[in-house]
Amino acid sequence: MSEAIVADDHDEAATAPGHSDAAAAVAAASSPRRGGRSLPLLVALGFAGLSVAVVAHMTETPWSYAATSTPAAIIDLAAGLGLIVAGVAYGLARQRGSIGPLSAMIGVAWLSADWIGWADGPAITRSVAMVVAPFLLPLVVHLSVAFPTGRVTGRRARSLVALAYGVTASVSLAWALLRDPFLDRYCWPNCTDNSFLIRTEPDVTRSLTTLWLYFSVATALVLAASCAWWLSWASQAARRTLAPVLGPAALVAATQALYAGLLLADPAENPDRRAFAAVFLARAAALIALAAGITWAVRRGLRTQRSVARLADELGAAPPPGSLRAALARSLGDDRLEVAYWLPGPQAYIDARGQPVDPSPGPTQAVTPIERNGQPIAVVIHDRSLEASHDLEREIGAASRLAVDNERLRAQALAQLAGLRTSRARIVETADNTRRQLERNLHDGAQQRLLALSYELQLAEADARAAGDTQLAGVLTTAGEKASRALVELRDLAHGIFPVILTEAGLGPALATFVDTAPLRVELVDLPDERLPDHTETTTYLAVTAAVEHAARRSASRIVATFRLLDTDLEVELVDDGTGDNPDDLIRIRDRVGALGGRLDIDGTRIQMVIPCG
Amino acid sequence: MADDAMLTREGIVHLLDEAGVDVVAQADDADGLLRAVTRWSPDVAVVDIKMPPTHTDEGLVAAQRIRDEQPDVAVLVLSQYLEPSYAMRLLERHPEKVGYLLKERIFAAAVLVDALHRVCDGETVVDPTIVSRLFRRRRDDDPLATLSRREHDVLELVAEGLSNKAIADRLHVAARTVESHVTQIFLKLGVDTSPDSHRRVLAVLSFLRH
Repeated sequence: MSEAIVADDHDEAATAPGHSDAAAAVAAASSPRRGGRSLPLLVALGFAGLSVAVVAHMTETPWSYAATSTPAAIIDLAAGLGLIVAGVAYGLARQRGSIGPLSAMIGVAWLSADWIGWADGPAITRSVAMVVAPFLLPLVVHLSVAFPTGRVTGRRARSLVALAYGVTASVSLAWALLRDPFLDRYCWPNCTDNSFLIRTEPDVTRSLTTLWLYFSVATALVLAASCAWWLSWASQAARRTLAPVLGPAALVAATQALYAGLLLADPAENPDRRAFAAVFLARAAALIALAAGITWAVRRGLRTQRSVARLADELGAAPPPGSLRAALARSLGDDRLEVAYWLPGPQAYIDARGQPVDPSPGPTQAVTPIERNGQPIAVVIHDRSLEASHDLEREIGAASRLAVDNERLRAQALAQLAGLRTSRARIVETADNTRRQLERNLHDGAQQRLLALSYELQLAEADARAAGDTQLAGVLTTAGEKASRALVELRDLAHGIFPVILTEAGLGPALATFVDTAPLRVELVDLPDERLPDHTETTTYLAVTAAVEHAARRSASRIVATFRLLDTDLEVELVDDGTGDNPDDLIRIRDRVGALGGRLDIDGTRIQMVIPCG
Repeated sequence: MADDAMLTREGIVHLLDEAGVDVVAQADDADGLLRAVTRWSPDVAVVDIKMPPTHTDEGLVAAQRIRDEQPDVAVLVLSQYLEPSYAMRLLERHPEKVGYLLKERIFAAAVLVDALHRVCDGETVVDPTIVSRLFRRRRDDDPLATLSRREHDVLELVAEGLSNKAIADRLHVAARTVESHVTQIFLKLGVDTSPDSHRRVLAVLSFLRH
């Protein structure tokens, strides 16, 4: 019965190389909490248990390294069981990926050496174990390449793994079919049984063994070198993730190379010899380290999952601005955390509201960039201690990347809006200053000269009259009148360009003067007494005068302007009794009011304006 | 004579000379003006509204000070601005012996001399252009419509600052007639101020403005 179960397990293990995906699928099909995971779990643990029994059942002459002494047995079991348990835990904790099953199978491959050495056991058991045992190396290769995602990506990696499995499978198969343990000089640990033997070819077998050993050395060294290379190229965060597994994997590879090399040099394997014992210890130790690394990865993975789950929950589908920052701060437990978004155009950092922000970290803080398709899109400024225990970039994950993008785009739009607003306000301010300057120039220049001219004409006329030259006097009088009319026009022009009284005395007097000569009756209600900021007064004055003219064009006879001064705005409502509707008339005033950040709405005979006082 | 624009100042001084007015001092800012007035105690100070340093209302402020400190000195304020607010501000504290004229009006020397005499005599002078503008303002239920033609003319001259006697001369009627007209007008329009006081000019202007 136990054999049947064991045979099942061996079948599964035998089919492992070509069907690791199926095994992974089986493992993945179960959820971390419940599910159809129980069968592989039970099988793995069952095999582990049985291996213990096998090892415990030691014979006089040791047919495996574990049988040499109790400490050796303990170490041997620690390595194998450790890998199986770590693999099972990994499979339980992660939802997909082949790392768990791979780890368990490495454990199985390692422990099959003990099954090979079970001299009293059935022949078929030992023969199957012999087929399985060599797969230790390709399994380690596969695990190293696939960690941590569980998938093998990249042509080179895939070829390496495929090659390893392929060669191992071919050699193992050939051995099974052609190796006669009786005729093999170096038959330890199995000198008696081979259920699969069909033809005895000792020379072929020998050559294959040598070939296999060379291949093992080469592959193991390549793997060790690759692990070292990957680790050196990885970023700090990646290294923290990869090192616990790739480091021991390199060690495993190195010790395997050592073992294969030793066998090449001295084919008579004998566990009592010091060299072989030492290499065995090294191999076991490396595998124990690998098991520890995988367990570490399980712990990390659980923490990450919890964090991501928390984050994804909090962010939801369409988070309001600034909620990314809040969610990240809560998730990571750092309330001084800040998020700054990168604007490629102006080459500056802005916060969620579009305001410029300084992304440099404080004395106890560090900066983690967030990238999308290799382009930096944001930085997270956080407490330094977070760096050591979290892999922030990964943990933020796909869900929040969308939120980061959203917030960044929104922040960008807000920043652009703010820029637009200030530039519009500047344009209006410049226009106002120009007007003031023009009025001043007229006053100080043309008007003065014309005045002086008119005085001189007057004097000349007086002289002419005194001299009796009435004709000249008449000419000069006419000239004087013309000068006078020009002066009047200039005066009105200057006032139309900019009413100086507006700056000096405010809206009240300025509007009162306007009303004096308005083309219709104007009533000003609740005009505020206090002075308001320059741009508010100018814009209000221009808006009211434009509204009055607009009413005049619509044949109104009367207009009432009601003012209401609030904390931050001046509200003006104008109602007239005109007819018709021509909202385009006021488009310039609407632009001006809008440039200040205010509003102007026209509704037939009623105009409502809000002009900011800030 | 105080005006920071040389052309204008010299032009006016020239006009005054020709008209036989003795110009004892010239200044081009408010400080200079006040010093000169203190020193010379002239009959009238002719002052431009806008002078250094801010070129806003130095003239008005100086006028107030002169009226405060040396009530014997009349002040005639000249301005390029057809701005009733300035005129009304001038009249607020000391309505008598002040005047507000537009510079463009005074190229006719007679107007200038006449205004000088009037302020010296203790009257008020308000440029007729300002007054006519105020009269032409459009109003709801025009209260001025209740006035007769003659009363209208009288009111206009009152707003220009003329005394009853001056109005009588202008309209060729007796002074008493003018007095009763004015009383009647003030009653009709509901103007508070006594029709004989110096404050009547400001009262009328304020009424016209509202």
